[in-house]
Amino acid sequence: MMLMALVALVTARSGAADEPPASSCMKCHLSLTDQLQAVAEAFKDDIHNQPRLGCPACHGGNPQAEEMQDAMDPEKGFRGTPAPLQIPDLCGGCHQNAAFVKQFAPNLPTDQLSQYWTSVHGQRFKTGDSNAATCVSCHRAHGIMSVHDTRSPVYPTRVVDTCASCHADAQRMAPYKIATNQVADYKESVHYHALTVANDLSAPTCNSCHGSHGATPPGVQSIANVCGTCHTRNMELFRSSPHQEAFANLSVGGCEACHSNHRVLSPQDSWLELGDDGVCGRCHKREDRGGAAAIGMLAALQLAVHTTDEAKDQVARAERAGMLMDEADAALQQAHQEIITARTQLHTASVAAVAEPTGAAVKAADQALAGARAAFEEIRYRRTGLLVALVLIVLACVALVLVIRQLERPAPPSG
Amino acid sequence: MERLYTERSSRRRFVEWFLGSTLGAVALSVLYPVFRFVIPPEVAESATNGVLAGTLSQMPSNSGKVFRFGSKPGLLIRLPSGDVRAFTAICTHLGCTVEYRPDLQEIWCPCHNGFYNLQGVNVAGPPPRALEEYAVAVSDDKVWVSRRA
Amino acid sequence: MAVIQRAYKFLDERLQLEPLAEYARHKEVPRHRYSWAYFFGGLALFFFIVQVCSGILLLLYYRPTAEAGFDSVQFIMTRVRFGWLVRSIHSWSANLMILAAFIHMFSVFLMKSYTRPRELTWWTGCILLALGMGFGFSGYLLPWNELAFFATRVGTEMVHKTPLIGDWLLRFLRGGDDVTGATLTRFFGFHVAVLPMVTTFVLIAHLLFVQRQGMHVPASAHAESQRRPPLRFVPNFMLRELLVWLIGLALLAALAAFFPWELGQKADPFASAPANIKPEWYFLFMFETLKLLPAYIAGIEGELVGLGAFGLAALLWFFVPVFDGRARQGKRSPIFTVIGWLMILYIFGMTALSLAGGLSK
Repeated sequence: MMLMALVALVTARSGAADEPPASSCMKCHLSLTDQLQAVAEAFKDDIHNQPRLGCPACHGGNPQAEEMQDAMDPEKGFRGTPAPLQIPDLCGGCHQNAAFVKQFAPNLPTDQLSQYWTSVHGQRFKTGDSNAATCVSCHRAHGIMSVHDTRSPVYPTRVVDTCASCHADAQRMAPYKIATNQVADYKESVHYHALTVANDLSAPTCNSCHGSHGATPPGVQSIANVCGTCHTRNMELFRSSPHQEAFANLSVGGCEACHSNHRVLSPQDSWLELGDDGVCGRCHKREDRGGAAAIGMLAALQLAVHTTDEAKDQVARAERAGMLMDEADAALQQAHQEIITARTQLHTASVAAVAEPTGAAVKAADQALAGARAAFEEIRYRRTGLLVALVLIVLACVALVLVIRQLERPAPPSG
Repeated sequence: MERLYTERSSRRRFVEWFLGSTLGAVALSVLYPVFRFVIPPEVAESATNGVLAGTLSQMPSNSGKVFRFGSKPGLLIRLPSGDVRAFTAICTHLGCTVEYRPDLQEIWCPCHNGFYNLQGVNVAGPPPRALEEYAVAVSDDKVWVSRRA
Repeated sequence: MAVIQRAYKFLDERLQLEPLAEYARHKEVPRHRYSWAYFFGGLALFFFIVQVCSGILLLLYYRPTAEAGFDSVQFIMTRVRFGWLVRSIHSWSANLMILAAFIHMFSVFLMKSYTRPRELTWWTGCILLALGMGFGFSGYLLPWNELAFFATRVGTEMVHKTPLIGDWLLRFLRGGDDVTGATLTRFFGFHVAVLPMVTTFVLIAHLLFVQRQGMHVPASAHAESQRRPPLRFVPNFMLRELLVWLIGLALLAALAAFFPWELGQKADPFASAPANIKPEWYFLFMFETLKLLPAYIAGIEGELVGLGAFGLAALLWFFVPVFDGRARQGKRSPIFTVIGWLMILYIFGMTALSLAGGLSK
């Protein structure tokens, strides 16, 4: 007990149990002002702020020395502020060393640097462009946090704004002749909505398709593969369709041609139209095979959607009237699922493939509709039955009135 | 009184008969529903609780089928080991109906390539949560699925 | 008819029914321009009988737990044959019973029938009305839907404000600190056992008093009742009462068929209360009054003042036979007539206001 108290006392003296013993770097810099203090403040939350790492991991120097000359002595290994062009190798010095990294985070990947060299950022960096993004551009220099930390600039919901700090800056991108509308486009997309409004962290952001460290736009041939990592079914069906080859020959991106790359919006059935607003109509005309297929698919889909909507209305009406519509609800669920399947099958560009699920959808919707009709029939039957009962009661009332009058009729004169 | 009775007897008798029969008809129209009410319906239990999901003989090992649980779809799986399990078939991502993939021995959602293992736990892809598991009771050949308590 | 006579003879031999039959044969009901009001008590009794019968039928399938309550009502409404009818009738008849009871009470009040020697009848009648509203309040929770759950929560919250015993009363009613399955079990016990037992005794007393004392004639109709020949109770009045009951039955059937009672949504205690929770219509006038009271009156919480006022009004109403001296002497009592009409207008007005959505605050 005494021993524990003693230990507690000792650890209390040297700061809270969780924090590493404060280095002289931190102690001194925190008492300074402006930038010199800011970096220390930021470093407090840094994931590298732990024993055996800390400031010296990147800057060198002696964290035990109390005097500045000692602590920041270049003779003794102090490196000072690294130049921008030194950054990748500085970070990579540890992060590429699997044996070293394993001591801190056994499953942290150690291929970031090699990935980086394959990226556009890395390629430009190699030409000596100090404006090209390096590790600290996205992860910051001080206050680096785990990608799972919501405060980190590379947390899924914050990635787009981190990339935007350069890629939405027209002035900055001008020398590279890279467009700067991607972020604005992406922020209109269903993916961004899913990420930020629906809190679906599995939704893609910049690095999902472009890669985190090996950041490169996917080549035209690869777009379908990239989208296909989540939308597998659609990718498979697209590959089996005539579009796969046709797009490849035209050097048109697979999914991108119809869905766009950044401004991915909720697709509408009306895209199948051949007019000015239709997507298929951008290439196809009524007369060609593709156009005919588009017309056929749209017709099948519209029939299924229309029938299902009508059934849904009727079932809701019956439910409001107090009837149990479990079976009809289940049929509607099935119809809905079949329509989703039909919309997926669109990617085959085959009317037959779409007509199969739409046919099933219509069947299920018809079932639900029949259920609703049966419910209304039942309601009518009940009302009729009650009307009959009412008539009987009215007749009984009439009979009663007659009996009462009979009883109270004044007695006739005798004789 | 007797005179009144005999003079009016036919009229009076008709009126009394009319009253008797209409009251009797009303009584019947009340008693008929009561009688049918007290006889229990085929499904004797009130339940979103127990549902007959299928029969063992119709489910070979390593197969799955979607069944109706209340108004929602459920997934019944017969494992390669012969055990039977049941889950909700509504994907926890965006609500599509999942299916069983015998080739992968996993539950798969075709919408965004989500995967669940045979315990219903989400293992790959976007689904954020496991599938709710239902209690299964097998009696004779019949497979009964009910909500867990 | 012959069968009835034989049955009567059989019972008379064994139970000496003849004195009772003699009494019944001579019983008369006065006729005057207000004697139509005499039917409403019987009508309330009719609806009560319907409630007992339909309630017993529902008991065959209902399950009084938070888990199964809603589902069992849904089961009754959708799977049991004519279950929808029994349930709708039970819900409608509850409302019609209370409505008939209110009409009965107000007609009795305006005719001053509460006066000597009928004070006991008035008092048992007031108790019956309170019991009826207790039936309504406890029964309302049983389907365990959203509206019922939150209405019960608000309603039981009110009793909390009673000084001194408020806490105890709240826990007694709720079976705990909040509305839970325990509340449901308790309300079920009140609804199907406690209240029926107490009501049976009070009702028998009330009916016995009425039968023993006959009908009161209001002072203003006294002359007319002397002039017009009275109705014989058996069979003339009874046949008319039967007619009124049949009309009541017809009304009930029509309401059940054309305005079936809704099931609502299953209660979720963790969800936030839906926007317009309201108690049943017979509590609306109190509900609306409390809403309109300012937060504080003379330093006391407004709602407490309101509840106190209701309590006081109920007490005064109960003891009106003691206060109304003129009626006791058989004279007209215009002050109390005015009070009666004011009460009717107040209740009617507040109920209408509440149904119309209340005043915009």
